[in-house]
Amino acid sequence: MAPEIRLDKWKDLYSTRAQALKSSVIRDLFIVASRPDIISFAGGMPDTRSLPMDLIAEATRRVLEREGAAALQYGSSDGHLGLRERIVSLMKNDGMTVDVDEIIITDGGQQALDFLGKILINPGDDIIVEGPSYVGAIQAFSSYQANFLSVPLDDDGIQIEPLERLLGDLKKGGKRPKFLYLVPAFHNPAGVTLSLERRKRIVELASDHSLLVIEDNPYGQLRFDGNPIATMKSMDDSIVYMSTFSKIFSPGVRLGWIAAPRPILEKLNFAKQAANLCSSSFSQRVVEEYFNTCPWQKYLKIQTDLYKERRDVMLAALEEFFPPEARWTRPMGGLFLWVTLPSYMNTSEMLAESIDQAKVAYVPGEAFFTDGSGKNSMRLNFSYPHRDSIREGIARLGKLIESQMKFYETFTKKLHIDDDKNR
Amino acid sequence: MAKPKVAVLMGGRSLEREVSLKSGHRVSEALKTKGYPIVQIDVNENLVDLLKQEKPDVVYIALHGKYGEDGTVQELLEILDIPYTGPGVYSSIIGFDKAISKEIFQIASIPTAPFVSLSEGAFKEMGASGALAEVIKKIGLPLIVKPARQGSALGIKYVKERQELAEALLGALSYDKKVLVEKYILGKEIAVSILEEDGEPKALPIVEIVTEKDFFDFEAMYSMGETKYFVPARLSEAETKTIQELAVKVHKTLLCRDVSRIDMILSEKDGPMVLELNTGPGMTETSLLPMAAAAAGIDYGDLVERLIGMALRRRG
Repeated sequence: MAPEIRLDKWKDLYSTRAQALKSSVIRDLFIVASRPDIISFAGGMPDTRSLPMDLIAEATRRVLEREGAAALQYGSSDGHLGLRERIVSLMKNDGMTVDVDEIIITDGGQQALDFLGKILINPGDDIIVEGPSYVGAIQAFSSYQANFLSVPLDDDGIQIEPLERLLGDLKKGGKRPKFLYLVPAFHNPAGVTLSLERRKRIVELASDHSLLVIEDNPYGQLRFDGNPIATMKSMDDSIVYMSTFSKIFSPGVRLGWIAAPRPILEKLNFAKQAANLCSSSFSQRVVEEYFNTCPWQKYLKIQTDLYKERRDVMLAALEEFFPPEARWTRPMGGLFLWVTLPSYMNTSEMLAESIDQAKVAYVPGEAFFTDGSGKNSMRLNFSYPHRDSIREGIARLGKLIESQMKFYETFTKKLHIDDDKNR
Repeated sequence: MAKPKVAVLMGGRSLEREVSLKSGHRVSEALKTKGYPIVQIDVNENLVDLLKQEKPDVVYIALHGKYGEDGTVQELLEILDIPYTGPGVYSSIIGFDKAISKEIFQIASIPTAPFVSLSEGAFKEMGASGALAEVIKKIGLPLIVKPARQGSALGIKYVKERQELAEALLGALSYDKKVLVEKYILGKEIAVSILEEDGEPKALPIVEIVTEKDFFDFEAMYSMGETKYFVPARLSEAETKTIQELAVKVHKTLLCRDVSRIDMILSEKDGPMVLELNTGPGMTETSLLPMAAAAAGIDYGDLVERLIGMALRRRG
């Protein structure tokens, strides 16, 4: 008998959770996309190049001189009290009243998503997400083997009618979804913002259906146009609210938070203890000091002004270089916009050519859906590339799309004729 | 005596960059362990200047895909007069283009699956989409669509129903301007690596690849655990001999030298059918050539050293 070679001899040991985790072709293509000659609209990075490094250095020095031993020690699982107090006041500015002990600090928003998945999802449980939805949330909830039910978005955020229908159907079937997960402001990936009217309606629906709502708001402060819209958390205490310092300050400090009703918070606290005991005491104190003593709003404004300018450059370039059949969202803030191409296009397939020939990277829309839809869409990031690169990249991408469209069209038209003949 | 200096070329900007980096790092480690002075080069537009500056005695090509396997870098190294590992310019050009190699297989009576090749130009300039019904009639279903010049199973599509063909073609055409439509052959997947010994091509033990999927795709190829291998393949002695001889014939027909890997399907009905010849076989943890060499008692380091040795013997 010939010897059998298994490349991974531990395969049988993996949990069913881990077996579901896989690499993808798209990930490998992105390794090429990280080369400097590629204009990348694929990232989701804030522009940390504009942060006041000197002020941050001074804040760090003050923390070490004043409370160095504590900053270099373990901290509480809830998070450093001073930072939680700062979060209470940040949320107050946004019209939300929460108590300091209704907050837990996490390692960025991603850990918050992981914990919420961990304490709420059993394998096969129904959860409701937007279609498209944030890819990091899909990843986190997938690892707990959730059953995703998605409700489509439009320019005003998640659509109410299909949501009501879905909730009705679930109720009839005797099923209760674990939660509804929403990114209400400057949605990632879609760039749209949930209207006030719809927010109110969701709060009502949540109460009618005893539905737990997770309001993920990392981008709310990155508004360039229009007026702020009240958060759902400000309308109803029982909503689980989460946000992060990643976009208003720095993703490198790895700090986010969840504001939740106390019983949920208690479970989250256990999850935090098991995961990593506490978030970095050092990071938490530096961020606290920065927000307490530095004009952070001024620097946030510098960043958002930059994003606004880049968004404008991208919108103008899209108008100039993309074919008339393409549609895109016009975000009033945030980092992303969403392009929809004619239905026969496949942006996942096009990515290879885009990276190889046009030297432009984007994220194919498929990545943001759990049901294989979104093949004709893409997410474009405008916060990180410089303005000249944005214009150049959109021009190249537009040219590629136009040539692909012509190509696709001859194909599909011909094929339909063939199909008709065969009937 | 000081060991010759080896430049390991890897990375580059082909779509197989990651695999190439893995191969390159592994090769570099092996050479370091053997005491060779090495320089690792992530290939970019400064390659020629870098080579002139580093003055290696020999180049190990760990590049995969476009420019690394298609004759481009080989031609450049010929111009610079630096010996390099693996097959030369001609074999690289032919081996990398599945349409051309299959044409040659047919001429040389090497069994290969029926196929047609179509270029983007045929669709754009000559209305080839009008001929899809004829393509299906000629090849039959199910069929495989693949980019003619792309390694690592990138862009390969399996087509069961006729209405899937257009999308598969469009998908494959995103990877190359020329695609192949090939009859799907059901059978055992096997890979035969050829390693020359004193200028004579010798077939290494055959590797049999068992996947749970319909065919060997990119994901299975690079994620561990998805795929099982049998080395040597579960074949009779007579089958093994026939297949190894066929592989040597393919290697010789495309005028290869040093090393190559020939991928085949062993059909119960039609016997071995050659899919393609690789002039730059992968050298990662999970690659087939090192696996076959190991089964023949040649460890990874010795394999790399032999390839370097063959290249050095070509030096002026």
